Amino acid sequence: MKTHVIDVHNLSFSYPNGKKVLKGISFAVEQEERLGIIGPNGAGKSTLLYHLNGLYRGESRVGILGMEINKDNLKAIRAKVGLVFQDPNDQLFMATVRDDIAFGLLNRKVPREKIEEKMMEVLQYMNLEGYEELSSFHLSLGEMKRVALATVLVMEPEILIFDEPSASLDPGQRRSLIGVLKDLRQTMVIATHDLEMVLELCHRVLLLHDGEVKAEGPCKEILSDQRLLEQCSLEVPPSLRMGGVFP
Amino acid sequence: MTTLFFFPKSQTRGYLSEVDPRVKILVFIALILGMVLTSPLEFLKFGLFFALLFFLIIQSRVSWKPIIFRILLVSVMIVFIGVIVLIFQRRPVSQNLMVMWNISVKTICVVVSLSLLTQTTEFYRLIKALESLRVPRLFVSLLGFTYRYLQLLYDEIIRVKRAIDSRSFGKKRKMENVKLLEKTLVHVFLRTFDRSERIYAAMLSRGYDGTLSTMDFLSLKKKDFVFAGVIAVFLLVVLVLI
Repeated sequence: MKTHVIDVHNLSFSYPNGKKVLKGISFAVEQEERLGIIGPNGAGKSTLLYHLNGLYRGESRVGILGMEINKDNLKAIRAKVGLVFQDPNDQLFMATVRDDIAFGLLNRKVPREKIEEKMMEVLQYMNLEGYEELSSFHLSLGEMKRVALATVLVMEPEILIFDEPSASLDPGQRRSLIGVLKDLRQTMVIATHDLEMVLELCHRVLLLHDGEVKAEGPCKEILSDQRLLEQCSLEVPPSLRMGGVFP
Repeated sequence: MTTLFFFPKSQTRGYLSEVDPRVKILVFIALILGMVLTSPLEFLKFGLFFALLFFLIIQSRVSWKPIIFRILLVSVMIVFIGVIVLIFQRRPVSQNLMVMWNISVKTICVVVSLSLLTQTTEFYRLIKALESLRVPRLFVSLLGFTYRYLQLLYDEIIRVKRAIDSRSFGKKRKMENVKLLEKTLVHVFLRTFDRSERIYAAMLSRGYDGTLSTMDFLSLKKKDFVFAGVIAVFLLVVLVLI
């Protein structure tokens, strides 16, 4: 029997201005499962993701790998949950790619020789060899996205969380990113508007609307429900409208 | 994207580029102190300082253009100070001219030295060097973030300016321009504030606990000791023996 690596139960969250963004959200994710979170702008997708890494703390329970997130285990949780932000410029804040990739490991006090070794491995894996001494602002958006993913992968997290991974990428860059994500074996939660990508990558989908779970289930079932999607300002992806390219 | 002039992709690969940035910083601080503490009447010494800087510029194969640009930029300030000195200091003209000479020669020496340092060292290496020289971490981190995000901020301002221009017609009066500038700055400030929150969240998500650690990759080589030794002998000769 597969275990739940993410277990969210009745989660609610309001911003300091009183706006309620999440209202009683519950869901669970199994090991190596890929869950897509979809919904219109302002549905609470990014806010929900921030809870999985302990950046936001709402009312009720968020369990990660059997640990309930609290002040004392935040560091351990963040070592296990890698969060890739929508805008790589937010994630790549150091002067060089090398320092950005090493940042998480240095915070975990990993010995520098080991960091060097892991960094080389991840740079090779992401096809980024020779980028170490470059500054992020010299990179294209696609390259920045790959470096942002490398900064998380180097920490060997068990769970990967993505906020709009394909946003602003050209078709080629998007295809190459999907290829990389497909090869990864970690449990994944992907918040996106790119429903084709969800269809191709995810096993299950969670539809958020106005801070609530509107629907949850297999991708094909949810993403082909035209009425449901239109209610949430979304639309059936072209491949399903055309009879279904993906099984 | 327009690249800011102080963010070149690569630097020149002359002699000074290969010297350790920590050694360069210390050597240029020593040189600048030597120049500033020299009496303005010691023309020979200033001649030797200029000869050394000229030699380093040639050896390092750096471009003259930015150096001349920076000298011209500070010249405006020097002329301004000169005018103030001439108007407000009731001294003989020869004394005022000496003050002007003192300010000019030393400022130009400092500007040329700093240009050499920055043109032969990539900015992130300067930051590493400052960190390694135990300059307060907060200051070094601020410099690092400024370096990282200045280009982004610049792009943001350009985008806002384009958006304003695309909806503006005809020649604007000065007051209108000031108001537009004010609006642009407020907009950019708000965006920057939002971004700083997201950056902080990204730092926390990777275990940031208040210490901004970086990988240390600087190591001293024989060349560094030779460079530091030669400049030390030069300073000794110029400041003590002549």
